[in-house]
Amino acid sequence: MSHESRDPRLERLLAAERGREPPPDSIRDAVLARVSAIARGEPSACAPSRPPRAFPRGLRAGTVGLVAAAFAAGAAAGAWIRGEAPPRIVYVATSAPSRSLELPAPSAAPPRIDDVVPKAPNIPVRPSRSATPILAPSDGGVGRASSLAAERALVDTARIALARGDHANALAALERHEAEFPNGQLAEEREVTAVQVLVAAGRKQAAVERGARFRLRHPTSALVPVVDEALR
Amino acid sequence: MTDPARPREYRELAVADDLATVLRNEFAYVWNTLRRLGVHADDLADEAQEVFLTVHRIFADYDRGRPLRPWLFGIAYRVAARYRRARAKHPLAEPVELIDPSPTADEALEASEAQALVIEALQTIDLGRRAVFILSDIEERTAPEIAEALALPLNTVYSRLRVARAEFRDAVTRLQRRKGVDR
Repeated sequence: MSHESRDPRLERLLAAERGREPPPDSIRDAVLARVSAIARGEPSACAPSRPPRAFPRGLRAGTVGLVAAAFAAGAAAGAWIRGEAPPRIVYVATSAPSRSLELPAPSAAPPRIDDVVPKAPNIPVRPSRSATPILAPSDGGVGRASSLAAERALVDTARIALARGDHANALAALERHEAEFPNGQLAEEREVTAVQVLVAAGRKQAAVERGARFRLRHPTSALVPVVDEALR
Repeated sequence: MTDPARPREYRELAVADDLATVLRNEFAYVWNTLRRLGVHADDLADEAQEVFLTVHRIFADYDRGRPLRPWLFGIAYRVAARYRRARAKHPLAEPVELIDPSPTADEALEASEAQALVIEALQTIDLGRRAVFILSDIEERTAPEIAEALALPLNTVYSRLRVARAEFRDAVTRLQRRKGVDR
């Protein structure tokens, strides 16, 4: 659309806005995994991504700084610091063995969209605005929630280590996750992170094999493209 | 799970593959669009999720002959409007833009400041006019594309844009003056 003699001052500002950084891949992957889980109809995936506010908003900047500092050496840190993305990784509670984005199979009659996205009220479409706290033990899931927290801590550790270039510790955390939660709720995220770590560590063959294993186990996962990109 | 009252079906398997690509490739676009439309930084992940759930639901109806991003923008716009109504009851404090304080990153700092200023100025514009402005002056879409994305008459697009540009310019001037910037 024509910009009838646009003010150069405004044009500079708008050009800067056009160059806005994308959010970190970790956030993208987590949100997409969450969409995938909700599409599968897993109620536990409907908890809001934002944890309950434990401190006044004014203190959040400090938290942001702490989390961002942990990633300072990584590429993700730059995006977080420069951009507006909240330094929060969203995790999805998935069942094991997990399958993402249950998209229709080619056989027989084409599936209905309701097979893919269950209707409310079974699956609240706007969990972010519900009163449900994150990791809500809605199905007697206190153990499930704490287990997810433990899983999250391990995958988090791996991602932070990866961002720092500390591949050994990243792999150690992922191996521990695999040992403790072989079919855990974050199994897909673990495998994707493992492929990324192996690539970053220069172990291309191992990364390819692990990626192939992921594709085999989760052929319709929304995270398959993430694996593909890591291996590219 | 199958509900005869809702006969919408995926038309072909290829849709599924494309959908995964859309979800992944357009995430940043949706994220940044929501930010410009006024979604608080703390709520972006949740609202992006809303957009993609909608995309997931209606992707079979997407006309491949048309540009994808205006279609996504239309969905993001509706999600942002709903968010805004919900947030009106529980407003969040601003500012929300984080700026890189590193003294060595002058260029990045300047860009971050400019982006923060744009976001702040955008928030002063009515959402309907803001959407037109974003599509026109940030995304550089044509008026017919904007009209289609927002389901507006062409004349409305032009009139909203004219007002929005004036509002944006005034907001930038006001904000820069307040911050003591003379550019």
